[in-house]
Amino acid sequence: MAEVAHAEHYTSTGIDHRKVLMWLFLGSECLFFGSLIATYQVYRGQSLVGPHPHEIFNIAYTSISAFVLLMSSLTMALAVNSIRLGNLPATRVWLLLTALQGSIFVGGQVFEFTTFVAHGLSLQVNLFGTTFFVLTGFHGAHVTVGIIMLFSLLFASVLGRLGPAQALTVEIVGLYWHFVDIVWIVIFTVVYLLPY
Amino acid sequence: MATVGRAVGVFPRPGFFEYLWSWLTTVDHKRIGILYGLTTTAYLLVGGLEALLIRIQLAHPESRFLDPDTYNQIFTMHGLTMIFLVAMGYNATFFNLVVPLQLGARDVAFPRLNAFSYWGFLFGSLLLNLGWLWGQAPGVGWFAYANLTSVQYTPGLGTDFYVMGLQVLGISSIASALNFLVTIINLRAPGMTMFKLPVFSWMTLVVSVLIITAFPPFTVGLIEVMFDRLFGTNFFNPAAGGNPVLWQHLFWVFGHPEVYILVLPAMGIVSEVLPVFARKPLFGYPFVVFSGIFIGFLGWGVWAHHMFAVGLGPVANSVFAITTMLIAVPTGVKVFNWLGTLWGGHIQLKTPLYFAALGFIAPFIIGGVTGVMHPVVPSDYQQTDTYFVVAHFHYVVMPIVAAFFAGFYYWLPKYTGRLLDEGLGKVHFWLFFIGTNLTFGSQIIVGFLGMPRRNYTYPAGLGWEPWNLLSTIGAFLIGLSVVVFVVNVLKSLRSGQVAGPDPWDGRTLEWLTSSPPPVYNFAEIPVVRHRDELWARKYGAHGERVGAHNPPNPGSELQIHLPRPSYYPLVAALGIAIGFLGAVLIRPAEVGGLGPLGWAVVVLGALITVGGLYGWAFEPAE
Amino acid sequence: MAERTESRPVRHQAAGEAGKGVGAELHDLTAEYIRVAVVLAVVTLIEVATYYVALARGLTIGVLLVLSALKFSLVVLYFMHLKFEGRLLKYVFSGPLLLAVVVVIALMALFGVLIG
Repeated sequence: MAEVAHAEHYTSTGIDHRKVLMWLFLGSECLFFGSLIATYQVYRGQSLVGPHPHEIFNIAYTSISAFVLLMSSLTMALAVNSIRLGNLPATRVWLLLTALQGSIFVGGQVFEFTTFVAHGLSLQVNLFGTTFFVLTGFHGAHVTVGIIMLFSLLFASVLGRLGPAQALTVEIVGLYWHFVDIVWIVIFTVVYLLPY
Repeated sequence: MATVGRAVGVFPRPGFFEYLWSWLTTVDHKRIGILYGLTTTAYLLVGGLEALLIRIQLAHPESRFLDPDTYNQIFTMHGLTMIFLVAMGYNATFFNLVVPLQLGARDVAFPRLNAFSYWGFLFGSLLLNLGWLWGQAPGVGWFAYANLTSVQYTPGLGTDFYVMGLQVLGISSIASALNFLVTIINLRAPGMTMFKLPVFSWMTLVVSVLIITAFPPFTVGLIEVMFDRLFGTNFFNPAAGGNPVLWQHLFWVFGHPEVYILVLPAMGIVSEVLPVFARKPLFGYPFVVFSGIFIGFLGWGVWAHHMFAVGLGPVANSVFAITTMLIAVPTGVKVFNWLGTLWGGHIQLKTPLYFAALGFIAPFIIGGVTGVMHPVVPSDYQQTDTYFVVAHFHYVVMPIVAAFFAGFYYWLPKYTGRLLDEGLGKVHFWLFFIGTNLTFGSQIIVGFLGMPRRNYTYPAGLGWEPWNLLSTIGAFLIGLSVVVFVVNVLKSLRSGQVAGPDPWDGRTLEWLTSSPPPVYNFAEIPVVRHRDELWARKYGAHGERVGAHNPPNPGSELQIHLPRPSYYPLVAALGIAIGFLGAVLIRPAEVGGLGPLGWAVVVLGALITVGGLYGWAFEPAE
Repeated sequence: MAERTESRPVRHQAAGEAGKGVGAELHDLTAEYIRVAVVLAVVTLIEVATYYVALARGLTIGVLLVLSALKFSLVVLYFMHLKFEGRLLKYVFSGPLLLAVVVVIALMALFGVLIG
């Protein structure tokens, strides 16, 4: 990731290349998740057979895991804050907490999927199963990638390769992480909470 | 810390494998551009061969030269090759060759990501074509309408190669577009504000925005087809309530911006070539830039004009008809700007100008005029699925090819150091120009006579025969013109006239440095004060000559830090392609797959990718 | 693209300083982040409550869309710091986001599922 870590380098806008890259990438990701959500919405309530969403959702359970992911954004922001202030121990703690909350979310999703499958909702059984698993599954995959990046940062810090000079790297991983969180804010509302 | 002190000037002649290795690990945008150019030219020949096979088949009625299934595969692969491999490939070629030099930059913002984009392009294109080995290339049209793509109707591997090949190419394109966006946003020479940015770089910017926004919906559509085929989901399965029309929307949400992704760089090339050979500034620069942006923006709101015959209802049809008619306005604005550029200029009748003015603008107007007939919905009902449509979009894409040729005659000397032959260039042009109009002019007429497209043959006695024969003759002229081009390039490499840094008396920064440019492009990053910076340096902003431009200063070479060569981009791209190949091979053994063993290939690909990415992330960049 | 941001080229001393924008001055943002998180938590609570309270269908939909847009904006503006970035990054993100929203709405309208 040290692509442009010259001792001194010029950018036309004064913003680091990697940060511009990440924001552009997230813009692109908006269209990716937008298209998945559009598919979900076009097929909303079009299933010919059950199980239907209201028969199978456990809103209390999913609310808690959504809340955990939301709070992981707080710890991520605090990690960025800490490394900017040069507080490496605190950075590690916040990164670890973020990764753990992410893992709880993904674990919760795996459990939820298993429960749904046990109740007869599979990828193949109806349009709801098809669109639900693909949309939330791709989100879960994004969270997993984020967790891997967080653990990579922690690993780098154990090797002594994470210091205030890498604050921007942490910030960029943070941008990705927050994005994954806001996607879930939308999915949670659209898929789980909006009345069918 | 790779510095270039040794590398410039006289190379110590390396052994063959060292030389090969230096290309496999290169992160230099100029070398990557050359790799793109060579790969793409190979595909131009492949796609052209496919076109000739189609034309041989259609030269006579009731022909049995190709069987229907082979014909489907060939016309599908012709479209896919020409769009995703040739047009996108040449776009990437020119982005790489030209943009960093025009910006006055040493390289792109992310050199290794750039290498990754190229290798992804190469491996993705190979994956797309791999189906030929099974005798099952994609045969569902480049649009691959659902639910023809479900396993029920196309059980073979062809459709899987379509899906997976295009996914890899999509990843490569998005990576490349992100890279060029950051480069243009962030690596402009000091003083080069956005309204001093050369038009080709502007169009690269607009196209890159289109790529990063239009490819994701297509990616999602491909994912849905993949899930339907591999895991039995219901996205496009009407028996479970799925709606195949959703695919058409996702495809054209991407597919129409894709048309502008193809044409805007060509417009950029033309906007660079005309001022140089008219020896006056581009007429109405802000209009050219803003109409380019407007085309890119409107390109998002016209997709359903490909779907009038689906039955979306009068409201949707009318909305998309109006937006489609609107898009003719900025296009027309550009045409008038080009004419205004030529008007009153000191025209230098060199080959690049032939291709840009006669090869692009004139036929493109025919493409535009036939295009603006389609949004008239009742008229479109008559034209849809006839050769009139085929003729229309070829009158749009053949000028794009002409613009690429203009670009090669114009810019190639910058990278080879040698000019192309003017005589052969004119032969190339006239063969291409006459061939194009013969081929597709005939198709306009035969389309009006009602000949349907995509059918492998047609009955005699409907008045279609002479036009089809003419069309075939024209296609062979185009083929011949490409041969002349290849000969011209080879001849130029052997014995072309030495170009020097500025053979055309150019206007923009790429002509400031030597030909070929040193690996670091500019010994000193130029400071920009004018839109046509080099012209202003040579002749002053108001026409008085102020002296020649500065050659690179060898004294300061040792201080330039260059990105270090890396093989990790190649490894990561290879891993991704292997992973997607595995996803093809998951299909059962009866149709040529490996069944569950395909998963092993997926896992292998994933491991190679992860290894490549980690090596990439943790290796020092310089 | 923002012409205003580019008129002042900047040379950076260290990669860590790069691209911090206006908020680059080093002060502790913990309190601010916690305030944002509290708001997010409360809004989430209200959202979930709508599921259990019987409101008119249209009202529920409206309330939920507004609340989730609020949460979305809070995370983007404060946690992702976009509020304090220049125009360039604001456009880079909000442009495609807007496009995505339009595509979703357009597709729903085309399939006749936007209303009802």
